[in-house]
Amino acid sequence: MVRLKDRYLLVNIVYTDLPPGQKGSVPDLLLYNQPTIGELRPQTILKGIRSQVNALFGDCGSGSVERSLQVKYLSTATSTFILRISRAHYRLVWAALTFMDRLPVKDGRPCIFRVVRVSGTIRKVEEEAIRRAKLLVLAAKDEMAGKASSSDALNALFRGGKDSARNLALVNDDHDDAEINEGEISDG
Amino acid sequence: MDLDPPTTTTTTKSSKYQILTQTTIRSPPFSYAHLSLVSPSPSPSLDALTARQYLTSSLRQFLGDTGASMAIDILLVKGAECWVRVPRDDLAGFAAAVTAYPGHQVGGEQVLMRVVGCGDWLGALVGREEEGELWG
Repeated sequence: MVRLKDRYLLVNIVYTDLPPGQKGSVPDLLLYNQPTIGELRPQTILKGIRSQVNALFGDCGSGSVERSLQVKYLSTATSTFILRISRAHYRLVWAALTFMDRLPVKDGRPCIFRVVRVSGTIRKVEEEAIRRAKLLVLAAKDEMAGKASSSDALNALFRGGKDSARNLALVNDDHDDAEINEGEISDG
Repeated sequence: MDLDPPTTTTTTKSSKYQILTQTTIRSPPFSYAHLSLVSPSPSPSLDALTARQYLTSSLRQFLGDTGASMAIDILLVKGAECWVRVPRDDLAGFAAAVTAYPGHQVGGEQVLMRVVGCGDWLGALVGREEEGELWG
């Protein structure tokens, strides 16, 4: 049986339109990762990504991405979503996310879409989402308690990993059999 | 013809030729394509700017911004034909884009560009041009 292999992308929405040097009660880290207000639905995200893929990669790119692009999970409260895309074309979607600079709604706020994890199974992506949420809460508490200065907010935003060298846990295609086949039987 | 008297020394006989260096070109950096303009008018003419504009719009439609930024060199434009050079990895996408493009409207007429041939070696591509005349 031929197994269709996919990649799952965990994407954060980071808001960038903050006035500099804002001294408020909310720590900067939470301002960058604030909840998404407004009409963000899975269909609008898909539409935004598809139009960006069409602009960057034309008819060929949008055809290759169309079959398997799906939003598996969207949380506006944590501004996080999980995309599923076929293994052969996930880089097209990643590149399109890099070029998107505002929410794909009418009068969308400027933001960046940051891919923080790529994995062959959705289970690992979910675990990573939970882990990152915990780290965010801890880092925000540190900042509120005054232990960290606000410039560390950016460091905490881009750290988020056990070892900073593996910030972006990329799945190497050569080792994907070892990564994917934990607990799965595949003869494809 | 060997005019020297035969010697009985034990030196090895030198070979008639010497290989100074040899190399195998497995992946040439560029590929070449021969394109031809097709239009209802009897003698269509092409110039470099028109060719560039046509190729850019066909690539932009098929491959988007990454296609429009493909490094294409127009080598020669002669009559209704042109010869272009593209990076080797891009040849498949380039040929597909030019073939898939429905063409322009120029003064009420539909004008198309046709791929006559493409390949890794320019010499073979030029030689292939005569095949069409040979077989009819």
